[in-house]
Amino acid sequence: MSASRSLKVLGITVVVGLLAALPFVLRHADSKGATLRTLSTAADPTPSSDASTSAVEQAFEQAMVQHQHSGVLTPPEISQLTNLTSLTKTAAAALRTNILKQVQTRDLALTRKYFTGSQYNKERWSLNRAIKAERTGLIVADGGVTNVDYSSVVVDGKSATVTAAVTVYSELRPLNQPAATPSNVLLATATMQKDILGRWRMSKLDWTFEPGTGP
Amino acid sequence: MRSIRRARDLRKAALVSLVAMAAVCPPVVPSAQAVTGYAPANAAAYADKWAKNANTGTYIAYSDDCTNFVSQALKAGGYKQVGSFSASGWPDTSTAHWWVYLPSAPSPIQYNSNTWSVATELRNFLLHTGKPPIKPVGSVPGSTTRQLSGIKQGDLLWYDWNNTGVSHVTIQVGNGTDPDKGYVGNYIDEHTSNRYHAFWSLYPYNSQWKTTKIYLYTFQ
Repeated sequence: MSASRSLKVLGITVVVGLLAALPFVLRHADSKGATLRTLSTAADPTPSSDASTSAVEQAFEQAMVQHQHSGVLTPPEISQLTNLTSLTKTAAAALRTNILKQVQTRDLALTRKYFTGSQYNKERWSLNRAIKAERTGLIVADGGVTNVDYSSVVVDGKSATVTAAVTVYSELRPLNQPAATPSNVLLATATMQKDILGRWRMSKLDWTFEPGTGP
Repeated sequence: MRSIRRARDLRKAALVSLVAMAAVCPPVVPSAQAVTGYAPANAAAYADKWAKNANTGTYIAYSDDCTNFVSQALKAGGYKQVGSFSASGWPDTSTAHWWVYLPSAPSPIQYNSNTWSVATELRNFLLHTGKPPIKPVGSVPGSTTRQLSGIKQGDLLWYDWNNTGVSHVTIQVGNGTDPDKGYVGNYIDEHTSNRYHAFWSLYPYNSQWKTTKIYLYTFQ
C-alpha cells in the first residue's frame, strides 16, 4: 500500500534563483516518508472470524485509514530534488499546484476504491476541504489509524455493520503555528456494502469522540 | 432686552458647564453587563479555576461535561437563571429555561434543565431567551490557525465535528499562548477533554479537523 502512495513529481524545471516558495519544497523533502504507520488491531472479540468477517474488517480498516490519510501531502522523491538548489517563485508555485493536483487525483481514486454511496460523497467533500486548507498554508504531513478495537462485526448477506473504537491521528504543519499531531479515539459505527465484484466498501460512517479523548 | 440676553448667557454658561463636566466625567452608558448582570471576566475567572479539574464539590461532572462547565461559568459570571426545579419540574426540556438545582450543595446531587447540559439546547436558550442574548459572529473551518476577531472574553464557541450538528461548546477566556501546544491567539477553557487556555479552534487537538466547523457567538 505504501509504495502506491508515493507521488511522482515529474517535469519540474529547475531554475537557479532565490525563491520564496523553496521552503515549501524543502519542508516536504525533510518530512518523513509517505508510508502509513503500521496498523495494529486489538484482539478480535467477534465470535465468528470466518472469511467474510475478516474481509469486512480489512475493508473497514482500509476505509478508516483513507478517511484519515486523505489530503496528506506526500513529499516528492528525494532523487528528484537532488540537483535542486532553488526555484523561481513561479516554478515553485507550479510545483505546489502540481503536487496538490496529484494528491487530489490519488485520493479521489482511493476514496472511490474504499467508499460508496453517501459516505463517498462525504469523503470527497472532506478531501476538498483538506486541499483548500493546504492552499492557504496548511501542510497535512500524515494521517492514519494506530489501533482498532472491534465491538462487533455483523455480516448479513451483502451488507455488514461494524462497531469499533478507532484510534486515529493527523500530522499537521501550519505555516504560522507549531506542528501538531492530534490523536483521538472515534467510536465508529459503519455500514459496509459488498459490490458485484465481491469487494466490501464503506457506505455510511457515524462516529463520536470517545469522551475524554476528543479535542 | 437685558433679561433676554441674561437668559441666553445662562444657557450658554450651562452648556459650557456641561461640556466641562463631560471632559472630566466620561459619559455613563449602560452596558449589557450593567443591565443584565453578566460579567464576562467573572465567568472567565471561574472557567480558568475549574478548567483542568471539575468543581465536584458543588456540581456533578458528566462524562460529556462541556455544556455543564460552560453553564457553571455563565452562572459564576452572573447570568440569570430562568425557570427552576420547583417551578419547571424535572426533566425540563424547554429551551426557554436554564437552571440548575443543587439540593444540598456541596453534594453529588444535581438537577438541571436540558439547556444547562446539552450544547445545542444551551445555544437555543441563549439565542432566543437569555439576557443578554448571543448573536452569531460567523463560522470558520476546523483548519483555522489564525487569530480570531469579533469575539471577546466570555463569548462562546460551538463545534460541529462531522457535519451532523453542534455537539460541543467552549468559552473564550483570553488571548495568548496555549500552554500545551504553543499556539498563539485567542484561547478557550473547556471540559469533556479538560483543557486550560487551549487554542480556540482546537486544531492542534483535533484529528477530525477536515470535517469540523466552528460557530462563533458574542454576547450583545
